[in-house]
Amino acid sequence: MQTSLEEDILESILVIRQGGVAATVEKIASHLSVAEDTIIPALEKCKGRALLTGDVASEWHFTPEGKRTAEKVARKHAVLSCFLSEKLGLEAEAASREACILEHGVSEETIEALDSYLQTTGRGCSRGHGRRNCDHLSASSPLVTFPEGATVFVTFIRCPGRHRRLIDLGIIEGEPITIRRKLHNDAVVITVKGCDIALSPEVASEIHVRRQE
Amino acid sequence: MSGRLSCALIGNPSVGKSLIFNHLTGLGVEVSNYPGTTVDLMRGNVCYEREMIELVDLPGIYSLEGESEEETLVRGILKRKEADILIAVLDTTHLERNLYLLLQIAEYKIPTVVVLNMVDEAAKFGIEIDYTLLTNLIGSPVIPTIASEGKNMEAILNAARGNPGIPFISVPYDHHVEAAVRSLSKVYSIERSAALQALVRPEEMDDLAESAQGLATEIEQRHNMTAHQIIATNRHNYARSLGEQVTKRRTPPPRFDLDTLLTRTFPGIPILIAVIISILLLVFTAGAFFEEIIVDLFNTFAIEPFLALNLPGIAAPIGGSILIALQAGLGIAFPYVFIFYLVISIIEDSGYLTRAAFLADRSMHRFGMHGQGIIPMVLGFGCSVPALMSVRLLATRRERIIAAVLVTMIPCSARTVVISGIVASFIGLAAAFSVYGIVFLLVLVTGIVLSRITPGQQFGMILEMSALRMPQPKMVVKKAWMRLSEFLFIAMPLLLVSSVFLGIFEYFGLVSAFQDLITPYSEAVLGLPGFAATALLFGILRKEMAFETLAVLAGTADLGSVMTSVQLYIFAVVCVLFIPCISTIAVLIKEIGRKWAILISLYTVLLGIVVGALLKIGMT
Repeated sequence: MQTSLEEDILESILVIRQGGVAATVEKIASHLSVAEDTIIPALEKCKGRALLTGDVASEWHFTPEGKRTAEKVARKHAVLSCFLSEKLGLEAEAASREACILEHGVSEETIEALDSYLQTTGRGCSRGHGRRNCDHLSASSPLVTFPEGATVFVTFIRCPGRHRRLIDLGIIEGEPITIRRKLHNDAVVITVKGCDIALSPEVASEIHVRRQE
Repeated sequence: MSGRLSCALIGNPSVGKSLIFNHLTGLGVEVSNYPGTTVDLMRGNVCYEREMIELVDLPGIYSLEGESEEETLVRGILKRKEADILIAVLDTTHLERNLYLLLQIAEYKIPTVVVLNMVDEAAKFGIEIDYTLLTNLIGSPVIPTIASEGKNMEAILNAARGNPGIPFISVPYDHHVEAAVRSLSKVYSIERSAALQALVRPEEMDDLAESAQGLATEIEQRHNMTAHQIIATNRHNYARSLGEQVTKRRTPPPRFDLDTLLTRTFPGIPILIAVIISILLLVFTAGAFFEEIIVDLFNTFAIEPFLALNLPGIAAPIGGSILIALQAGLGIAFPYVFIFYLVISIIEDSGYLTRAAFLADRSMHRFGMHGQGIIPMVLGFGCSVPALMSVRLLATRRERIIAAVLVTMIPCSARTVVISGIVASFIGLAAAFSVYGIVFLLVLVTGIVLSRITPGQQFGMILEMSALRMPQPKMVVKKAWMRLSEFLFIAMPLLLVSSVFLGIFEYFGLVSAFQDLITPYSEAVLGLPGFAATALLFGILRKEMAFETLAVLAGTADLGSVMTSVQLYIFAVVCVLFIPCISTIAVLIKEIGRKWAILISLYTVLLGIVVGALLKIGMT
């Protein structure tokens, strides 16, 4: 079992090497935005557990076992950040940050379950789970994050089963919505199909929209 | 078609169905510019050119497939083909959204007359509709009307009698949906509408539901969208293209938009508070003025002559009780309740109520309700009975229960009479306000606790804002009158019966027996003399009767001379909190059921006694 830092190191070596660059201590430290001194003991520990080969002065390489571990961590990160941004509607960056924390505590089984859940109900980011695969959603955020007067387009509604009324009122994918009024508590009045509709904050936060169609 | 022709008005909320119904039947139907006011079905008969036509006003709905009470009701009527002809009323200013419902209606294959209402308002927005083209596309006659002015109403009846066609318009759904619908209707030999309904949301758990669910899951996996979303999207898109084909739009003239003032935190919330306060002030001052006149008239022309008759035996108390009940009922009903309804009807019809609900949404959240909850709360200051009737406008049972409890506790105008008559006049104005303070605090605490413990799910508010309109005096008076008669219908019989019983009890000395029985308890717990406890009992009939009875039993109007300030204060607080009046209990049973009515009554009794006892301990 690795510490969070060791897992982070393995993950960043994977990312650095995917970019075709040599994974030096300097590179790893800057990738994780920590001091070089803090990661050296962890690197040595990984070497002792036969996950990495190399030394402080030069480049670090994975052992086959090390590579597998690194890929596992990277996958956890990707699945979690995809879930957070796609299903829960967090901003892509925030989702990635959260995923960095969660990935160290989550079990393999949970990730498997989450992954198959995303495969069956996901939207376009069901394969690969790379961070970039969710990019099309980074432009989409909850209705409440847009200012009064903005005209936006619906991308999706969370829990569509609970919000049939919204769908009946014409809040469907691609539909333009104008935010007529937004109070400080995020209650909004929107114009859909020429009708003004008042929404509670909790309903408004379930509607995801983007600027451009 | 043999016998009487039956027609049903169907459409979105606030498109003018009730107004059309009103014009056609001449009946006084409630019309309001507030979504979802027609829950009970209104039926009426029209005699047109020697033919009897039965007209039903269905509640306003946005879709035929939802699970709300109204949608289920309307769907049932369409499914069982209970109406020969449907009169689909569409708001011309929002044609596209209204066509969405029409497309669903068309799937039920019932002869339909399509009414395009509010063509005058649409013209103001620069919207012109090609009626002939729309008729040809839908397959049913299309009639433009202006219901607010009663224009072209007979044309609706003429079209309904002229064998209108079954709309042949049909939405081309996604091919997976179409395939599922075909296979379902083939296997179970059901109609297209039933198959679609099963795909969207099966109503019963049977084989059909099971296969439909299987198909729906398959569709959902393939499209990453629920079957309902796909079907709704298809309909919306079709409605849009249909709308675009028949609409000619000129650029609308720029208009001053009042909503820039009404729906902003500032000045919206100050306006809202000012509106509420002025309603209350108006009702109290005007109500008190008229109440005095009515009570005086009753005294001089009915009660005094009756007492002068000196009837023998039991006739005197019975007759007296009836007169007192009539006086109580009319003295409250006409001045307070009627004026209150008038004001509320104006606010409702103008469309302001939806703005108020939007602004109040946040504060109502603390009580586990949504913006709509403000309506019963405000009404509650006038009279609990109409306030409780308006509770049915709330979306979930959970909200209805919370609102009912709080409305019962809010000091109505009768309780205000007690507070002002006892506390303000014998102790002081500050003390009177402190009674309000205590009650509001208890309402607040009860609301917060209830929002935690009441069963049921909380859904957010989704409320269509009605267009701001000038309320029509005739409609406002008509509606206020309808509601008043509903109030009288519930309250009067109870008032009469219970008043007579109390009169008889008094005649046989039961009241003084009760008084002897209750005196030790009332003195020990509340520190009140026995006659005060009896007066509280009379408060069940009508709250301010507690005050009047107290004066009668004390034998003097100068209550300060027989009771201490502390006693008077405790009496007022207990009376305000203690058990709702009998009419309130009756409406509680009707609106939220016997169990909750009993629970609420017990809770208020307990609350009154506990708070009274605490005050006694604290103040002596």
